[in-house]
Amino acid sequence: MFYKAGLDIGSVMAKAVIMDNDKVLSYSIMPNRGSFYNAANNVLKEALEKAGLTYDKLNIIGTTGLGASFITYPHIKNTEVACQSRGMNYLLPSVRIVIEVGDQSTRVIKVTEKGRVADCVINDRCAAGSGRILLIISKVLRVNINDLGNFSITSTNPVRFSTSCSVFAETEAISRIAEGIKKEDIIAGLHQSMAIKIYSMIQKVKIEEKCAITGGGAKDLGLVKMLQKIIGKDLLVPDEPFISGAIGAALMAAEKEVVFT
Amino acid sequence: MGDKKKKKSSAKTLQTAREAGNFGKKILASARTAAEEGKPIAWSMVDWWLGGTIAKAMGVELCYPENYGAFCASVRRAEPYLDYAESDGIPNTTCGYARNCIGYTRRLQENNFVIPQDAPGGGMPKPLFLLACGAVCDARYKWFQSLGRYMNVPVWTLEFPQTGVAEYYLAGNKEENIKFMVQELREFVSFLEKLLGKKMDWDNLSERLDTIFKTHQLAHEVDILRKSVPSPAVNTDFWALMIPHLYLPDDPEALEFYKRVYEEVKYKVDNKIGAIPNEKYRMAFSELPPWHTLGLFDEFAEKHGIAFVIESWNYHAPSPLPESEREGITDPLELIARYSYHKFNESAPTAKKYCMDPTIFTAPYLKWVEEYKVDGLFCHPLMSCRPATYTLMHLRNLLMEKFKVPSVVVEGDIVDLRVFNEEEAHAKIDAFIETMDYYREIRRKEGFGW
Repeated sequence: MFYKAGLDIGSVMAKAVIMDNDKVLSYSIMPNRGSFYNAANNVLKEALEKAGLTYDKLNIIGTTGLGASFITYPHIKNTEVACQSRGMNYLLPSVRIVIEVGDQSTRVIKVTEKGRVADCVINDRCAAGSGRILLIISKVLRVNINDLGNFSITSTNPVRFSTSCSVFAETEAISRIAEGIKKEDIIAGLHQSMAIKIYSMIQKVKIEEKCAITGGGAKDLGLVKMLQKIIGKDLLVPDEPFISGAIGAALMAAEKEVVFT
Repeated sequence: MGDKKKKKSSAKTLQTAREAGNFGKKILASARTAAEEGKPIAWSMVDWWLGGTIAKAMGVELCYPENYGAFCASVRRAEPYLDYAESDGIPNTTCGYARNCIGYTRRLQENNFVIPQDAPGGGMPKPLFLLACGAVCDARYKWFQSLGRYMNVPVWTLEFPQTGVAEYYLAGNKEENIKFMVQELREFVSFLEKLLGKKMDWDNLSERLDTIFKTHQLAHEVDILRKSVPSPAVNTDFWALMIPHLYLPDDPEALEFYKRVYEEVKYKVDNKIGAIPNEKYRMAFSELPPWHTLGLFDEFAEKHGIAFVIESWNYHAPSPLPESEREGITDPLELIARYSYHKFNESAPTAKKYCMDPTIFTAPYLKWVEEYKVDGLFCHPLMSCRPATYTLMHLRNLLMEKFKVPSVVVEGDIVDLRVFNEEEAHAKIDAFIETMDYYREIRRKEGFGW
């Protein structure tokens, strides 16, 4: 038995997985509610409980994400890009392009057959291409974030967003509501705008045969469909897109071969 | 967490590099002394030794606003000037050097041209005239025109032919360009003679040229020494060492200094002493540095063993002017023209070989990646600088296509700290390590030499 935990403490959600060698035993996902420290403790605790294990049974803990610096127990931290690369290679070994749509940023990673990072592009300092814009617009439209996709796929006439900035996109969405445009068309328009932005990132690393999407954005069916349409390819989606980074964190920690128990 | 305060400037690895900043101080101090003594002063762009050398031969003391911008950024005191320029209607996408300088000039003007007490480095005195140059950058025309209006002083702009690769190889094109440049320089001499009321000192100019060639020969030899593994010097050393060879190469003190630089670097090469203790990755940097955060490169070295072995093409001294170009040339103006033209076009054969354009900012790196055994390129696109940015994506693609050398892109600015994100730079470099490992393996498999 070699128990390892992987934690991905993102800006909105905390994720933890427990693995025994290469098998995922359990996972937990919860919002961090403004405290990375509490979220990291609680998410690990819950994942351990689900696996029927206790903290002292863990051989190693790997971490990643914006909030990983707030973790106080011993851990091995790695970059989000490398962890996503490893995690997605574990979940979907044939994939060579990973699109991760997170809250803070979107990343396009070219992955080797061993799950290493061959290349990557990150959208810099711009919320318009990341999951944050989905949260912003869901609030403006008073639609649950989880329902955005269902609205989007029923749209027959996506509106065209003239801006690529999230601040202006919010204003633009409000204007479209005032004009009486249907929610589904506004949401589909937003998805289209994001998909075009992400596609330009994919072009920088050059597209491959097998592509996948992960992160919170992968749970938005409307975004996935729109991306598939813009890219002209089917995208693979893991069963639980939130945990790919946490799996990668656990795997990378084991790679370092630092065992602390 | 330790209490150690994070250092923003670089510690540098060469002793001579640590001393090189004195040349920057000397430039400013000499200009202020000249102003006090009533001698002529000019503000000059980096003009690749064209007009600046001529002006100095006529007894004009020069200040360099681009160097001053880098200095203000490095001591993190540029932001008030940037804000002040922007409050006067200068867009924040204008060159960082220009905004810093315009903000400074506006303050100078409002203080009746008495240098404000709080000016970083003691400040630049009001010039008698402004010396601009059309080489490389279009923003520089308008910048100096604008300065001329703030200070009501004349602006002289030296045009510089921007030769494309195909044009470079057109029969007679080069000689036409040289002729044009010599004419430009001759008119500049006439302008100076009228302005200063005295004749050109041709002997002084020839002496200065001779010193330039000697200083640059050493600077170039230092560049060659840097091909060694491990690298004896890194980018942060170079960005300090460039002050004497870029701004004062005609100064005998700079020549003496470069003899010491050469000796120090040669000693490290002979004894296989690397600039950083554990060199694991060799990177190139393109193009203009984030002057406000050079300490970042020390952190990359410490964290990942990254040595930035070559960088910033436009700041490097060219290889010596071939004898065939110098033979029989008695006019120092023609020699100057040929030398500056050589700086901009010496990589034309590389550009031709790879069927690419432009030569500047791009072709030199295609040579360097092989010669310096580069594992990765750090691209630093600047929102405020088109010339040093538009080539980057092209270069990135070429390096991957021709040499399987990957790149990492970190956006920022030369002067404007407000648009630079250190954490983002770290996150990207952290991830880039794997990418460099991967392509190192690919290059090995494909038979590249490094």
